[in-house]
Amino acid sequence: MKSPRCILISGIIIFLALADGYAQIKFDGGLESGYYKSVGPGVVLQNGFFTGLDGMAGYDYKGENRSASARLRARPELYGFNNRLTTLKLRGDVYYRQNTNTVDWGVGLTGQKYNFNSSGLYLTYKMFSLSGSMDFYFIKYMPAEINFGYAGQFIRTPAGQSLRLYYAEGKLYKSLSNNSRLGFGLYAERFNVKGSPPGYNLYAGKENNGWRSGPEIGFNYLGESVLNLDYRFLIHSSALTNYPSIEHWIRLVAGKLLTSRLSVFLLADFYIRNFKYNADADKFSYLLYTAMNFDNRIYAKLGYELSGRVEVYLRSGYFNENLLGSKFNFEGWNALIGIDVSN
Amino acid sequence: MIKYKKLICISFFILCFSIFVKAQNIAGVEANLSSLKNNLMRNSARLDSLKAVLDIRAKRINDEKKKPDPDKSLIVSLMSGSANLANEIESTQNTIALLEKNIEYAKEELNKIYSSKIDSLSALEKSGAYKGNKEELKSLILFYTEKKLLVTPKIALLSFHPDKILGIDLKKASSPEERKLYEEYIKSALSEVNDRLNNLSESLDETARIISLEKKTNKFLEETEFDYDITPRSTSQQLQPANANQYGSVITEDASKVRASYEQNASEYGMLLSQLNFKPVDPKIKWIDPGKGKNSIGNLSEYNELLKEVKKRLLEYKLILTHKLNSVK
Repeated sequence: MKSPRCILISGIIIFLALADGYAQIKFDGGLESGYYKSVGPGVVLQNGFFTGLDGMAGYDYKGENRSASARLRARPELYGFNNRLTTLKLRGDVYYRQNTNTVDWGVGLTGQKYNFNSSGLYLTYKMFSLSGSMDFYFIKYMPAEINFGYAGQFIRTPAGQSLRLYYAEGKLYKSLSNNSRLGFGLYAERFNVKGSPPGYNLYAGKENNGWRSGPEIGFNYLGESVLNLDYRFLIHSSALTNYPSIEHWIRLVAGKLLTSRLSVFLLADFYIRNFKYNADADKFSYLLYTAMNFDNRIYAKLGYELSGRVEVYLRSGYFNENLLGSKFNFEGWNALIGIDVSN
Repeated sequence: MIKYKKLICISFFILCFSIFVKAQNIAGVEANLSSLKNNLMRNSARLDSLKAVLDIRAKRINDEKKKPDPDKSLIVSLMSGSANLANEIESTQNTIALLEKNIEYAKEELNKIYSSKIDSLSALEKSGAYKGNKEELKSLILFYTEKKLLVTPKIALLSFHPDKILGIDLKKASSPEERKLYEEYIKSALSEVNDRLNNLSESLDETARIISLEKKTNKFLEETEFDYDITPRSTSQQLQPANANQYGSVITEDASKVRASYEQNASEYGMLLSQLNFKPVDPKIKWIDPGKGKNSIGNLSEYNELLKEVKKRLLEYKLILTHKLNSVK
């Protein structure tokens, strides 16, 4: 054995395989192609052919009252042939979850990397998160949930930025029926951003510390169709903003099985921030809070299941990826046809 | 290569030997069960008559006591005889309890043997390797399935008694009226099985749709946003392994109301599965065994698997009932 890590991994796999449950190796692969067009004042202004591959391999374990999974995922994308833009997204995660009568809890670790490469522009994002989750069933018909964690994001562009944060979230759910529920809670996050202008040491510059906190509400339905609606309102306070600086985030997920094989889905994310910047904000724009998950997008998908394992689909939508600060983004729309195969 | 051939020969020999031993075993255990049942019947009859005699004696003692001038020596004699009777009754009751226990053991053993028989015959039928009369093979499976039902622990979920129905042989009815009566009984059972199958199919469709919808929704979100989040973002993206979704997790995963509702249904289907326990349940299928009270349902996918298994077994039972009705046409 070349490395003790191999022994550890083999041991874990053997333990899980022999434990009182069963395990399953999972594979998922997809290919999609189509047309894209970038718009707005983004960093890349072009249009043309798009193609992307998506591959996932995972290991799922399920025992009497516990479950675990490990997954690796890669997604290379190619935008255009001339002046081409390539992206590579990588993700690995492991989760463990334990269920009891009154409390379910879980822990997870994820790592992600995102390369964004075009002529004259090279960006790398690295992200990790260590998270915990607990679901409580003490109150009859009103389960509660607590999420907490520590996460980091490191952006390397001509400029650089590192973002580290701690978060905690408490939620209560009220079942409206067997198929629907209402959730409401509070979210709080403490963050620290370090950065540097191009050519300077990442950690030599000024820091931006701050808080994001506020209420959230969500409605979910899953029955004949699926409908998830979430809204989060956050007050943002930091070294570069004045009060009141606020953030709104709205998510809509809807879907329906039109027939046993044909399905349609819609995802809409709206992130709106209304910041009152102070005098330092322009000078230290590389210190502005920019988490990768703040993308505006609307996507629709029409899928047709050829068999239990193969699906073909049409997917089209608008995307606006906020890459760094408030003015550095990749915006456009695409229309794709794809195929997905899974075991 | 020769080693492998030897290994195959030895395995084949062991298989043949075990089949031979099992065949001997069935007859032995069946004879034992029959003997135990006869013994139980004899002892039950004896207990009834002892109790009757005791009642008569108690009545005589009371009558004698009520007389203006009771015969004390008669009362003493009757009471003394009653004490002996009471001892005999207690002893017979102990014998009956022991016999009932032994009958349960014998039934349990036969249950296992029949299950094994049904499994091997079903495997033979599925493999297509059997060259003889396939109808005979099917009849043999039905024959053992009927026997298996007779020794399966009974739980009163179905309103009719499977063992009584399986014991009915329409060909052996003593009169056309009796045959008609039995026929009606089987038809009513068949109708109940059909009703249960219809309800089950509806539940299966619903759970399958929810599972599919949930899986597709998660897939859609994954491929659209690549799970970028480093912080929790919505109720649809909570921390959990991909296979740990509870009760249709996208939204209802932790709704205790839903949890209770599914557990109630799962418990009922567990009882039905126990009643239709022709063959061992696949360990991958989670179910609430009413006798053991464990292996509870953890999520909607497991619930769906349980429903599939119960449906499969109800279809098998329906086949037996239909076969019984058709046997006299």
